[in-house]
Amino acid sequence: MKAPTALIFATLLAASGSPAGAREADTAGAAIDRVKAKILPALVRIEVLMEDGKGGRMVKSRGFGSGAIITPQGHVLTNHHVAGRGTRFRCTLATREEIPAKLVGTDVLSDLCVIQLDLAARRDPEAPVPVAEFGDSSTLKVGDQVFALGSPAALSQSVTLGIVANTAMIAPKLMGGGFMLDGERVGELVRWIGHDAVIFGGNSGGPLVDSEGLIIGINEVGIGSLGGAIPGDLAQAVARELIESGSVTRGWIGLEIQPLLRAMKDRSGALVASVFPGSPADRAGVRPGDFIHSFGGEAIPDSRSPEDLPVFNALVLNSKPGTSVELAGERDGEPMRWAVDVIARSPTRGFEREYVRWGITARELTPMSAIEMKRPDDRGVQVHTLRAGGPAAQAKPPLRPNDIITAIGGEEIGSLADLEAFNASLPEEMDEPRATLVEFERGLAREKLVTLVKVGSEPRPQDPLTADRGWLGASFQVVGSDLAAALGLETKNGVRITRLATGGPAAEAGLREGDVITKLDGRVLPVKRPEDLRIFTESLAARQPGTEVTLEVARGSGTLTVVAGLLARPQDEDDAAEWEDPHFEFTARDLTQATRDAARLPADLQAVRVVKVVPNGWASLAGLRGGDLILSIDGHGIADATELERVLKTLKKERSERTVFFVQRGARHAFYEVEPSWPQR
Amino acid sequence: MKTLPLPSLLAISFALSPAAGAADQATKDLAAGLAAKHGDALVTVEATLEIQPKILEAPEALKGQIQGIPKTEQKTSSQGVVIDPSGIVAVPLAAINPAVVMAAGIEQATPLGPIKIGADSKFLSVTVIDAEGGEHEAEVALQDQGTGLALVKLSEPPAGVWGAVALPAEAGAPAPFGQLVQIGRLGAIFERSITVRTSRFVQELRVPGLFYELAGTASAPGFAAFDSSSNFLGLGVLPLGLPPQEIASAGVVLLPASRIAPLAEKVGAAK
Repeated sequence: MKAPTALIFATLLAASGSPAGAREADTAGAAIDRVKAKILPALVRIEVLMEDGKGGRMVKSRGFGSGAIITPQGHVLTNHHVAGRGTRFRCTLATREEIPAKLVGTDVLSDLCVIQLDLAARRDPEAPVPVAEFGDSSTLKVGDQVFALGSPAALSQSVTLGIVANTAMIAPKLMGGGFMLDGERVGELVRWIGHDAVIFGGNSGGPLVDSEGLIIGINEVGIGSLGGAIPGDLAQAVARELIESGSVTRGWIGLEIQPLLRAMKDRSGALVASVFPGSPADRAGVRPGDFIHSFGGEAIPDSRSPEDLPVFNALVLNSKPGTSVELAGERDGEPMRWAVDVIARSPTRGFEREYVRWGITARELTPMSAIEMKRPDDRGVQVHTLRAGGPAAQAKPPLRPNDIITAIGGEEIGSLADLEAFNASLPEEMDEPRATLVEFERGLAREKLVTLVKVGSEPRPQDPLTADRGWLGASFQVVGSDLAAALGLETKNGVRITRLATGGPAAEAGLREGDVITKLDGRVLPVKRPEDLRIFTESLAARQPGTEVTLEVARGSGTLTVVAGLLARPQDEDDAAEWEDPHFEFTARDLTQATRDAARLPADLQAVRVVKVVPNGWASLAGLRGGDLILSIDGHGIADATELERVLKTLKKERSERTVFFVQRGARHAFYEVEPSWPQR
Repeated sequence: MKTLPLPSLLAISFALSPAAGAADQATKDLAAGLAAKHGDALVTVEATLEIQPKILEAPEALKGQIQGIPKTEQKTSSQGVVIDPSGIVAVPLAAINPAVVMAAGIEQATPLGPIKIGADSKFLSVTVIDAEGGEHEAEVALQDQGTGLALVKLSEPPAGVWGAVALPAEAGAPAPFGQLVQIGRLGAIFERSITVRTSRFVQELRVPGLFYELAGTASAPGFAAFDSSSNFLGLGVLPLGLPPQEIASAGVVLLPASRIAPLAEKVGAAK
């Protein structure tokens, strides 16, 4: 643990009696007080509900992170990876008050994001907002004292102490040169402030502050015992632009550089690795293998290691779209100059949505993603994930991830808006799917395929009959030889009746709980281990209802023979009527007699039993669990699956913002608020 | 009645055992005769199903953590036998719905106690591929874990009358060590050719329910077995009524035709 070590270190210096040490200790103590006073009140714990395309659905997940309030209007600066993909936000202030927030803007490349607190939702909406201030991260030196603030592991707001370990830390080649975040290579732009103030998952987005309590970084990564923070100067500039315009405009010229090769000892600047066809750099004549010495008059340092590359990248990314920039360099020893038009850089990954009636999640193509896919333009819609058994997955041939849908029913699909326009043309309620001709392209070769997708409804699961099966009306446990001996039975094995169904054949035949059945129709039961019970129950089930079985039974010290007439096995819970709701994201079934018996539920209890809750689905997020009994929804009693379906469909039609489920769980009752969002069709 | 196309006859593979090479002419004639007579009753059933694993039992501490296991889509294929000219096909349940093997639950140890995992399954689509390779939409009309049998019914009646093996109204067990002939159909990669094997009846298995134990060459479930008088004896199945861990070791057994008949009646097969 670094923070305690650092504190101990400071304490030891103070104890040594050294005047310098005493000053250090005093400074540290005073700094901690300043930090506490200046930044703790502005520290925010952020709970985020995120959605990611997975299995043809936008799958929800819950995350936590940290942030700091940076404007009196309640803007909170945090990481993109904390909040950038969020759809709902709950923020806990230093006062422990919890209020909602909304997304203002996010920037994947710098991993920064701004959300805005709903200040009016505070208990005292007029109360002043504590605001954190920025310091100057460009003057930081290795060894400077820094403090990390945040909510490690989503715990309460905390402060840890450390020093700056590195002012330009990047992930080395061994670690892949960084990590990918929503299609962007983090590290292309940012060189982190490395520090050893303890941070943990949940600290992400929290401020790194200097001893004056000013923000000089935003914590982003933990690498071993070191933390990495985005420099405060960059963070402040990005935050300002996000607040002003909701996004960050960046320049792009269409070339990538790499460090100079080891053999290039007499070369300088940066080595051009890639020039994308048709890009501004390509049009200006830049070629792979060229060397760049300056960009818009700014000298490029000799790029001999990956740490040097963000300098050039930052110059390009910060250049203004619509302007022309002169690059100077050399080719084959000859000086070169290129006039390059800067254009706006698009995100590498487009916006994603789910389309329930198709069983897919799909993404918008962006100019950058089109370049990655070697497509001539960004027309089309990219299939990202498919739901197993869904219409698109069932098409022949099925759609696959990364297929590009180019036309539906002969109409061009250029964007998600076109797909949504087609969906809007479908009726609200569809009893039958609509067979729809889909044209799509696959792979870098852009193979042009067609398929027929039955849009609108899933294939109706088949509902096979089951065989009539004999039923004795009792529950059993296997009695092996050890247990038989302990029970004082003469037999070596059998099955013991553990529960009799009221009015069942076993009870009617006079069998009792505790009886041990040793023979079935004259044959010794071949059961020894608990799992052998199935042999006995299946032997009964294999007999037709209406037939009689002769059972030899040990009761106390005696034995008796019992003849019982089998009945047809009552409905299993698996066969009970059920409703799987795709919007509230759970499945519930009618209560069967077997369920009532097993849970000792009264015969007149009207409810449905939850049998499946989609992980992180709306019902799950509200707290519903498998096994819960739903008694009512928004005050409507739910007697069976049919009623459940009717009520939930009504709520869907009304696009209800919040629905209250009254639920019985074991011996307890509770109310749960389910707050679904209503997806695209 | 459709006729067996010549290429299929030529593709018939024989695995006569024991001592296949020494099979007498009468056996060879019987096998060839059965293949010719019943070849068009031997079909392939392909299914697509959705399998949803579920936790049947778990320690309380684990229940909240393991609410959902992702469902998967699975495609299966099995040989089957037409048992009614209207297009009812008997097929081993385990081969087209592997989730039934887990139906009773499989226990796994965890540090917090044992959990029992089962699975729900739903058939999304079923296709019967006839002897000539024609595809017919179908549905699973009945599935029964006790017998390990599924009965698949064509969604639309076939254009013609399909060849079907006859289910005997009354049938006793074959003589001990009596010779049987199994016929089945290989998969698409083997051009759906007919396969013929000989084996011997060993004994009746009474628990759970009546099955016949066979000796001789192993075969995938779904074959039809006939006695030396060309009577249909039953279908090769996995005995799903056994505890899950014993199903595999029990291997393929014969579900007697007498147990198939009442189930076929239930889904509308002619008596």
